[in-house]
Amino acid sequence: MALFAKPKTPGIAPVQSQSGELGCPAFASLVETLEREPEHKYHILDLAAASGNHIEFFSRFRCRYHIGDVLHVLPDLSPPEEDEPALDFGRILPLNMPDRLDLILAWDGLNYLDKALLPQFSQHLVRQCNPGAWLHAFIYTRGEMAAQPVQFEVLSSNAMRRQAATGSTVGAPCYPQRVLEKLMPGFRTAQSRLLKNGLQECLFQVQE
Amino acid sequence: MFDKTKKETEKKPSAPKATAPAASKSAPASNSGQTTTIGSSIKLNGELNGDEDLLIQGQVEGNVYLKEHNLTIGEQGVIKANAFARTITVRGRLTGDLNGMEKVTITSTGKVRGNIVSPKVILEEGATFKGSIDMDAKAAKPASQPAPPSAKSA
Repeated sequence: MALFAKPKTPGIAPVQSQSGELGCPAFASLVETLEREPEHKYHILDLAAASGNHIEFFSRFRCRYHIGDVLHVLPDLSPPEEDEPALDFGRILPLNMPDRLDLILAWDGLNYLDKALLPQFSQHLVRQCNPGAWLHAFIYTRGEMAAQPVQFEVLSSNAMRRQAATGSTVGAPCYPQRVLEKLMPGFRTAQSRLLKNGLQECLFQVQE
Repeated sequence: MFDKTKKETEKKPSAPKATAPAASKSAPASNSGQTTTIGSSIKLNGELNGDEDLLIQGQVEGNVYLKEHNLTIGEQGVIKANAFARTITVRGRLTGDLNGMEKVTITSTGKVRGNIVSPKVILEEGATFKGSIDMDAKAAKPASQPAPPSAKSA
């Protein structure tokens, strides 16, 4: 039978499953780091909509947990034309909290923001961060991704489950690590792991 | 005490002439004893201060202080207020800051915009929340409770 099997169309990357469990070793090491200072009060920004699961997981820490609820907006943002003013991320994601952030949970949101807007978004975040603050993200490295950011559920410090709202997909930007770092001024890569499912788990840190 | 609130409310010209009882004792919504209900036709402006559990189905603007008791915002409740109670359950809409000494729960029908301070926060699936959550147990201790008003008004 294999002799008669149709060869895969060249140039089209396989469609990855947009749902299912995944390991997250960088997240696990981050949690371990946070747990080393149980008395420290962390300020955490979750870019996703409010999730009981996320809140429950981070309730183990002394923390203030800010809900950004901005992920669903990111795919619709486009860079301004030449004669238009720059996008005001302060209105899209107001960060006027009195305390600076120690951790940003970006989940897969960075994949959905226009490449030209990533540096500005990154700078907006860095301005509200403490030196050494963390940003945790998943980057698609091949093929396609869900048309909208998927929902992540934290199962444990080293396992998550992602669930796409619909089955529709779009091409993933597939940023190489170096390119992504250039697109995120103020952040440096602290850890980067290629997961089995083709996702790159990245832990960035605000440069001190 | 909310029976008293009822009488005061009915004297206020701004309060609607309710055919339904303004505040009534109803079946307890929690296991801590009596629960007073502010009915769905009632609008209150000002501060509420009480020593029993409270279920709000109406509209309240102001602050709510229940000290050691439980506050429930019912599905019909629309609140623009800061609330301080032992436990707070939101089934309706609330804009304001919530300080739950033990727990804050936003149920699947609840919509909250504001900040929460409580050692335990439960968001049921379908709940809507915008704001921040301070999950520092120390922050929700009674020492940080704002001084309740000396007199309440409705």
